[in-house]
Amino acid sequence: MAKNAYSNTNRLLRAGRKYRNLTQTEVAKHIGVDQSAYSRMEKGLQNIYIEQWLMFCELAGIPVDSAQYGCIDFLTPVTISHEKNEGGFKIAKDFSRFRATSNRNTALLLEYAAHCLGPEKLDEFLESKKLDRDFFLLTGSTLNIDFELNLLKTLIQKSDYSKNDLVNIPKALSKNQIHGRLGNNYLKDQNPLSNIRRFVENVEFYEKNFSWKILEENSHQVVLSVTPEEHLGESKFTSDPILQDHYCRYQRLLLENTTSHTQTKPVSIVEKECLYKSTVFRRCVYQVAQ
Amino acid sequence: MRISSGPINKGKVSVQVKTVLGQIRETLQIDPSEWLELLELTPKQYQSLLVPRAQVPLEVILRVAERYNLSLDSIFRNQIDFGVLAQRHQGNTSSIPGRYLPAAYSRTQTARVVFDFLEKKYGSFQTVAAARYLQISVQELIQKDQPINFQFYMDLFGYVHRSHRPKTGFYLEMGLHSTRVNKHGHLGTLFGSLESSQVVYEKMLGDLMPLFEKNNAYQIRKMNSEKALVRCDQNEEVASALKLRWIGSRHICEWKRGVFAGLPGYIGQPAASVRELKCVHRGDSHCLFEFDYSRRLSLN
Repeated sequence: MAKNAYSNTNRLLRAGRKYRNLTQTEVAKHIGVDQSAYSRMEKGLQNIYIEQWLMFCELAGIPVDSAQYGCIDFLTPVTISHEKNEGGFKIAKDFSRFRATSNRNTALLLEYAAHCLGPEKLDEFLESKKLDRDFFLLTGSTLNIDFELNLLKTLIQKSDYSKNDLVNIPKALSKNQIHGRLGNNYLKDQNPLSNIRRFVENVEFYEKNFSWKILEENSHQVVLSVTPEEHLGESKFTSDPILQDHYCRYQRLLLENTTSHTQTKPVSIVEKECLYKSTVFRRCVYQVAQ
Repeated sequence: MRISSGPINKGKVSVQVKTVLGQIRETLQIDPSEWLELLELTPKQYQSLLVPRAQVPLEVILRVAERYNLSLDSIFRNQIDFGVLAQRHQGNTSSIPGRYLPAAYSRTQTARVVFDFLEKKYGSFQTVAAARYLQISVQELIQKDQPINFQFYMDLFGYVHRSHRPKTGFYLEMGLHSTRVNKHGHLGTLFGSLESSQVVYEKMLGDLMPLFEKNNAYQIRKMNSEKALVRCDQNEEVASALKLRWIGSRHICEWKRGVFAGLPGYIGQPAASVRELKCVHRGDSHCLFEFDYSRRLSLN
């Protein structure tokens, strides 16, 4: 992933072009350069001028401020899809059934994976899964839950990852493009419990694998449930011997850090029910207190 | 200064951007070396950038936008309020851009409903992006009810429309949301005890509208137990202060249709069917709304 908001404009060119199924020649002609110059732009070897960027945005139908946010975000809620393509991007068969996790949701795990594995190994991983890394710049595009589970498994097996290593996730949260166009300002002025409410209200922009509901709330705490949607019925995400309860831990950390990263004191989360630890429960229930 | 809601003028954008950069530097009194450091340019590169026909690399603008929390779109449109920028730089986040202050006959409370609806449709993302674009703090705008002019709503709606190209009926639905939000507030209490939709319309359009805004004058032309015909004339003083022939936009008219169609909701009735028989944005001299509360509004 890019190191900051403005170092990946070249990749945005490629992502936007592929998303709209355009050739380099078509884009080059539209923005008034020859194909080889455009190719250099996509590789980050040539400057992009503002006029060219505006013409590109017009052609590809992408927001002008995508360059500022480091991603292409149409602000659309997740809709479950089974499509094997996203414009010109091919979605591997393993990840195209019940696509309900948006790249907005996956961005954090990818940043974290880049931190654990190193960017080269992460690229190798994506290549092995037949996924184009620029696809992940389309914030609202989706894959199924198996992608995140596969990545978590890889982290467990191939890196120095330990159970406690997930706490490094906050490092990735400082990246501008996390949350897409929410950028650095998302949830900035709110207290953590308001942030939890806001996160739950916005969860459909992240994923549709789980139903998030606030069960109780007052000024000191929020109790919320996370229940798997029906389509996860065939997935073995709760009983994988390698993953164990890591996905649950990851979700909890995501919740905790997403909603309190601007606070000096993080929220405390107590898990009242866990569907990964007992077959009795059909959901996870978290009590979040300030 | 008015925000242009149309496409950015690509032919002039480099010239405009250079002007904006110069104004930012001047407003914030940024030292030349600090400025070059921010732009990541050598003095020679900066000099060649100032040549009139020289194009501006996107990355230069991105650095400035990021540092001063400005929207890229607003830089390209040359619509930064430098007074607000200076105040923000000094830590004051509550100031409202000067363009929203002349003829400030609306209330910021109205924006609460609009932002609430936008959050429901597009998530908090939209609020953050719109606030950056308009150079406002949504929190402060909503918490402290203060006067604001109609240009603010025109800019906000223009931004939303440009960002999302919403489907027909979007603004109508946004207007209907007003009843859902206000039903549990003062208006809900006030209207809740009224006996019919006709009385609600009479009360709202006849008595209360002048208290909410002075941008338009509403006049009930005909009314019976089934229908109301309402004429809306703009306040010429506002149009003149905002240097506009017509205030509002066709999207704002659609939003108003929704706001008024939803009035029967305060007494538990379905939204009224509504038609805009005349509209200033279609070339008429005034807007004319027909509300038929004997028929349910169809959003299709």
